[in-house]
Amino acid sequence: MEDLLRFKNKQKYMVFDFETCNLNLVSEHNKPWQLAFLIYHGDELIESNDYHIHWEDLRMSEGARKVTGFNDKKYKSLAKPAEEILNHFEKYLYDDSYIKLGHNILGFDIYIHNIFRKLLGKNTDYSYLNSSIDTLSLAKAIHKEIEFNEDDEFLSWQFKLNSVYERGMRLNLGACCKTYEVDFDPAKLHDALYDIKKNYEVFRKMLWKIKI
Amino acid sequence: MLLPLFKSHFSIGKSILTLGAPKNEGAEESSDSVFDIAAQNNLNQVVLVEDSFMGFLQARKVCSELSKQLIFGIRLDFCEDASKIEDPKDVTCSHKIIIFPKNSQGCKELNAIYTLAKTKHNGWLDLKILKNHWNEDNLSLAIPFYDSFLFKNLTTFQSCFVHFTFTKPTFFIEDNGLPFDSIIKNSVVKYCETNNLKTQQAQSIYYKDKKDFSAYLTYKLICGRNSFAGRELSLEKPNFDHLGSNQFCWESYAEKALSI
Repeated sequence: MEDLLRFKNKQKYMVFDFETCNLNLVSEHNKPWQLAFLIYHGDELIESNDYHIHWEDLRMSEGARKVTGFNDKKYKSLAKPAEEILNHFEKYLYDDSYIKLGHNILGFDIYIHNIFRKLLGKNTDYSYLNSSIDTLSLAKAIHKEIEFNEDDEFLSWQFKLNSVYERGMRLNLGACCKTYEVDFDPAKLHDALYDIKKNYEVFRKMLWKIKI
Repeated sequence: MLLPLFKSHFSIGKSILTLGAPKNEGAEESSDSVFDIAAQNNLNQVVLVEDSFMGFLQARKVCSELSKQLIFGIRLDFCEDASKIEDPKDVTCSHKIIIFPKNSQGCKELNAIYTLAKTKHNGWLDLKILKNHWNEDNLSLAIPFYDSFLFKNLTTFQSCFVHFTFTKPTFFIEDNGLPFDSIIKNSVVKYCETNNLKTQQAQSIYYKDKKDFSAYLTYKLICGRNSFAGRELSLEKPNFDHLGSNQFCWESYAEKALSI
């Protein structure tokens, strides 16, 4: 029982989220333009990062502009060199003592990180996935009452959950905030930093609903 | 050795490569053909893994004209009990297998198995049917890397246990830079070691170069009728799960083959 994450008060986490130009998982035109990540040691917030990533040729889709509230002027004034940001992010990403956390990361953000690496001439490296948790997978497990069996590989179990679709099953971050009684402002969702703050609150509550 | 596994547009929605005769040198105006690639790269044999027999005659004709050996496999749907399936929703344990003929008699036998599955069992095969029609002298069995029973057991809540007692299948292993590739590979290797089965490094090829991925994606969107649960799809919003690699191509095969 003491192995359960809910009891590990000093566990280190990195919560992250990318905002992108569209939803393509491969195209190098789908550049990540915002990356926010928070570093927690248990409940204590250690570091808060909200980066706008500089690219010369950002092609934002109209849909992404609307959903993320993208503002050209703000982007240009805040954007920093891509490599510097990736290095900072990957210092935690490839540190096994950190659990990497995000909502729908297995279906989206991990691919965006891969695009980010490719844009900077680096090879694909998903080795951090073994110490990652997708809160969308957890939400599905809790909703469908699917327990984690210790004979299963945790990452494989999450991919299985990732494959579960059900008509009417609403488990986006906004819906999770409602389910787990986390206060949120719907107008601010899809701002990367706001999303991950709320996601971490949701995650801490989820830990009491599922044994992982 | 890394085995290139071509698929053509005769497997609808799966590949943008045609089975046309090689283009003249410098001609870039038409679609890429499996045989353009084979001719440009001096391949003596072409391994095609198709989802139907539709392209077989054309592949055989072009291979014959080019004096290349054709190895033509069919990827088939496999389940626990094909006799119980009336609706695809009834399938409890679905996965894919590939059957290759070893000789011309094997082609006839594969055609008979394929026809039986399509006409009598809604396109499905099961262990009982396959065992009854299996002839080890003429046919060989391979298990694809993606959509195999091991893949399904690891990425969905299916639980399939298949014991091919009548033959020893070869399991393909691929690495296309997808996040679950290593999990699948570990499972395949472990399974094959435990059951004393062979593995073969392979590369599925659906388009020529990495840059052709967007053309491939466009084709998949068209074949998928351009909507998902009523939502409009586009290249920027394709909504295909885990279509997160542009490595299912000849360019990627060539890079890997060089590094082995």
